[in-house]
Amino acid sequence: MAAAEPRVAVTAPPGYTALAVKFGVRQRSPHCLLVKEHRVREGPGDTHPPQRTLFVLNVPPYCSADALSRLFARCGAVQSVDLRDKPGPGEKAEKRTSKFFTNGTATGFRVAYVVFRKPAGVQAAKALSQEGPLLISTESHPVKTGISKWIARYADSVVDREELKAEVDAYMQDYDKKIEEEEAKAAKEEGVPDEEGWVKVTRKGRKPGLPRTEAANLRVLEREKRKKARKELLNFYAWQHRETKREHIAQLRKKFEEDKQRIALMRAQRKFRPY
Amino acid sequence: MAGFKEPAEAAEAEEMEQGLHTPAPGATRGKKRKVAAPVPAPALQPVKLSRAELYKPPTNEELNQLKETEDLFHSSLLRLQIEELLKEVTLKETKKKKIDAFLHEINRLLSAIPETPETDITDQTWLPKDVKVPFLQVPFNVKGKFRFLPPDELSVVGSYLLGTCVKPEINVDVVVTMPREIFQDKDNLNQRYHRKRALYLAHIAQHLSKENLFGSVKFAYMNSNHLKPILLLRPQGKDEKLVTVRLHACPAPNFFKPSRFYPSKNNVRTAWFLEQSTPKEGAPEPATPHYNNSILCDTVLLSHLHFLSSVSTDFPGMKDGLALLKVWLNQRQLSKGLGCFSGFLVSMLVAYLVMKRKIVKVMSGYQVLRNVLQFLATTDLSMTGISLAKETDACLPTLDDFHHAFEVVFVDPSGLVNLCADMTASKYHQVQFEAKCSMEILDDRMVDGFQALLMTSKPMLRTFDHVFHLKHVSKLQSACKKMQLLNELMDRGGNYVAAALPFIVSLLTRGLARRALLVAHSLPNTPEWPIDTEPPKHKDVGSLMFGILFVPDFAASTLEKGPQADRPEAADFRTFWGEKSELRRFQDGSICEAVVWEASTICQKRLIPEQIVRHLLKLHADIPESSICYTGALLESVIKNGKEALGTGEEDMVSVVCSYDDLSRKLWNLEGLPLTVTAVQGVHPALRYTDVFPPIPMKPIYSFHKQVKTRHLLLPSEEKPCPAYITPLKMICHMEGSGQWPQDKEAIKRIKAAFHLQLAELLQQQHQLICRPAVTHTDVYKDGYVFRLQVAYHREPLILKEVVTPEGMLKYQDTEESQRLELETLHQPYLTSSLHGLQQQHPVFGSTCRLAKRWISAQLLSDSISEECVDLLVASLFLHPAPFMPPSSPQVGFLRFLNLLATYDWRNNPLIVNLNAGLTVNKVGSLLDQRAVFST
Repeated sequence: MAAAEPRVAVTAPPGYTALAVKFGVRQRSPHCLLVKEHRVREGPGDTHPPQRTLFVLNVPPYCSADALSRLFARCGAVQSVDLRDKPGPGEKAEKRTSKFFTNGTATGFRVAYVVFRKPAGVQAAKALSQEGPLLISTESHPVKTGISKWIARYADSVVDREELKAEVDAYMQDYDKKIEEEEAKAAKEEGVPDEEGWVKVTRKGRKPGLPRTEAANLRVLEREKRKKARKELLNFYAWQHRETKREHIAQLRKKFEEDKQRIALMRAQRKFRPY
Repeated sequence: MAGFKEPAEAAEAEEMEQGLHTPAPGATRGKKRKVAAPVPAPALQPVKLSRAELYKPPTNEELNQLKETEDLFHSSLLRLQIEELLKEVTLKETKKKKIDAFLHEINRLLSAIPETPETDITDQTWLPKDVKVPFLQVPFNVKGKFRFLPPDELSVVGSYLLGTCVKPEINVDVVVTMPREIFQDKDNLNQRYHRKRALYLAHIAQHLSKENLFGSVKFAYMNSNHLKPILLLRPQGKDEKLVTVRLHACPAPNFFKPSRFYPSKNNVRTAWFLEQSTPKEGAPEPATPHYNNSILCDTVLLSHLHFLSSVSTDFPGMKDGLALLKVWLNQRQLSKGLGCFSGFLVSMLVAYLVMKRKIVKVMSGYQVLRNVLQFLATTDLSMTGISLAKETDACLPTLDDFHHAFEVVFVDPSGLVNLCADMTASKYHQVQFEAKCSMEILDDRMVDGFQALLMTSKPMLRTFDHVFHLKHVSKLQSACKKMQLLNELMDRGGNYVAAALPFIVSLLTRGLARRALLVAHSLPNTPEWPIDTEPPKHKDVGSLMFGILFVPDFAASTLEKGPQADRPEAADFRTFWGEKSELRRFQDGSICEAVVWEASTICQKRLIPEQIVRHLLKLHADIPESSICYTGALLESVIKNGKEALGTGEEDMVSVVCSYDDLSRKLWNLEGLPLTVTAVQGVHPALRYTDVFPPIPMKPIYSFHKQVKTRHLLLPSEEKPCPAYITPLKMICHMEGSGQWPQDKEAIKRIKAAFHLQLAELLQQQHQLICRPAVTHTDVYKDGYVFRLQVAYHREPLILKEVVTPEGMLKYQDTEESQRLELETLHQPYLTSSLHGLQQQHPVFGSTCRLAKRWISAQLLSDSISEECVDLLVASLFLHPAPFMPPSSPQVGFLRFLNLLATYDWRNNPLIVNLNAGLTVNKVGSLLDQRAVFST
């Protein structure tokens, strides 16, 4: 449908407006961005203010944040573009500080929040659907493809040693400081009862308690069991003898039943035909 | 909405797939889970027995049964399995009735055949045109008269009466006794008896073929021995497949004098055989033991039956044992063809063991099987023959006489007949070898003996490391001439295949002595033929197949060292090897005869046996190279790297591993690290010799790159051709544990990055290696390879698993991240080092793996079966080869890999690969139990 009449908007899900975009001039069939005004019921954050924010679905993988902001620049000044893997409340601005330690960007289609300076931008963007396909890779700002893209990526993958070292050092200093503070706090609370009179036992103090882990608990139980077993006398009374014999026969019976079942199954699959 | 959800879902599904197929801890779980996936078919359910049922007081009968199972069988499972198998292969009562009726009909028809007037044997005009004499009458002229008279007696002999016949081929042997009037004196000479026998059967065939009772009337050679044609009768209609009645003809009792047929006696005259008019004066006639034996066999058919039936009375285990043994032989393709180890022979062997009290009549079928195998494994009948004859009659031939005439000796109760007359020593050794292997399997509790012994067929292609065919057996005629085997030819009635075979096999055995564990041949097999066509010629046995099983240590050695030049054996060595033999001076100063074979690469060395076979057969048997079709390395072209490569990449892999070893040594000794390196382990398949195309050392071509001076960086240039790809070889570098490691996952990441930086720096400083650090790894360029070094801290997976419960308890839970890390830093390195060890034991492991991977990729399956999974599957072929030997050539390994995929019962049994023999019997047992719980 879209291929036949490139100008007509593609059927969009209710509430959304479809914007046709193309990679470049040479591509024939356009791709659809689905846009709508960003609206959430609870706590619209500062990052995505309502009315001024455009919610964009189906952002193709080759489309970067810069390309998006250029794309929508014709509708009004763009304040920020937030590209995400999944839609969600906006507290993303936090850990973007580390250049090296990111959890790897996911590939595939993404969503974006485009924040305009003025609410009019949102309406203008929706109106773009009436126009022809927009171009993502333009002559002035081409999106890199093929070998040049790979070369660029390779060049990016080479880290600057000094920079990395500096970042690691800075992080570790912070971390050490944090740990130190925690330890100091723990040392201060050591042996001091709280308002109800409880004393917290830690691993650090003069009388370290058991670590509160699952493994430790199991170990204790196991030890108890062994202790009990050592004390018990085996085959001392006649009834114990009887019991073990009975147990033995029961074991054999169980094994026999299991084997029988296995055989029946194999027989059903004709596993006993030698050739 | 669906539009954008799709890719995400696809990615997730893929990841799950990968999770499924990467081998997880214990290296088997991945396999197991994959197997459990298809749900709908019936799977094992855990047994639920109520308490009352489990603990009810046992009856006497039940106790006995349980006890018997413990005493007489390996385990109750084996007992049940054997019972089921016996049910499958033995004949049902209802069928027996039908067969009996059929036999009665035959009896009636046979007595009604009219007699014929007496004619010369050579005058066969009385025989109608639609029946051809089932005998190769070469030379045609013999003296003597023949007439047909109705048989004196008709009796059923053999396995049918004993109740030991085994499906799928139910044969009923019927003996027709030819009346005394048919014979004349001297019928023992020059195939006269055999001709008469053939004519007798031809006449019967001609009459029976007119009857509607039979679905088919055909001729065949008894065990492909062309001196002994037999008549095959099959019933009409849907029972045609049910039974084959084999009509043998035998002479009137006591007609022949046994002393005429002693192994040293001659009964075929040279002059007659060569069609010379006058016999040469003075020349002694050679003995014809095989010919004599073929006549004697016919005279003792009935007495053998009586002997066997007397043994089998009150011995229920014998019937079962024989059925098992026959299945065992069938699976090993030993029970058909000329010189086979037939079911009859096994019955006689059991009788012998009963006689020697090695088997007693209370034994179960399983114990009979075990004892016979034990006997076969420990006795070499080609050196020390055995005899069933009880009284030692002085005039009977001795065992030594038999050994002189035959390769394998097993004398029957009459003391005259060698039951193994046609068997070659090599065939017996194969039987012996199989028996030995089988005993080992039965004693090993880790293998399913039932499956390996009785359910797995062992065709030559999958059994032997190298096989070759003799395409044109008619070439053996010239071989007989070259080896001067006229006497043998006469003895075998002109069958040049049978005459030449023992000599060719012994030739090969000698030539491959040090390299081969076993040299075996297929049994010549002639098909049955309709009565109106000429009998098949000797060359109609098709192609002969030979198989070689290697001793892995010596199979590929390029040198054949002979005796010292001044010894008398040297001349013998020279004649044996011909021009190839030359004098060589060795390092210890001795000068010896030696043969040196040309081979530069490993894959060429593997083919040295081919050179030997071709050379010897050409030299001693005049068999041209063109009629030898050798299959040893047909598939190896697919793992050759590059266009004009000579080798199959095994040398490349070795050089990779050398470089890796050097680097790891350097890492160990690195100075200036805050923590020491505790272990360096490889992960990449090339470091366990299983990479399909191992990396080749590369140097960057500087003109293809742009240099970025500031960062010491070479960037590929857009205009220039793409630089060669160098696969990074991943390796894990474990650092010492210490209190200084932070206990937080983000901080550990930073510290690891710092280590990567420092490793790069130190390697560059101390060893001048070009390094490129990154956050997650450091690339080291060394000897043209790129090693990707990844630092690991042994507690990191644990820290990733930590979860604090609401009660404040610390718990460890698998997360996706921790599992990935464990796989990377624990399981994969363990796998790599284990398989590296396996490669040291079995040098063809790597190549087999690579072939298997090539195949998997060619079938577009590599997405769902990971590389590690293929490695493990192939490893299982080497670690648990039963009932075979571990492969010693990539070809046979690959064939077994395909067979494993095709035939393994994936749904009901997990495939457990016992790397480094780390699992004990109990552990395997508990694993099996766990699996039973899993699948519910």
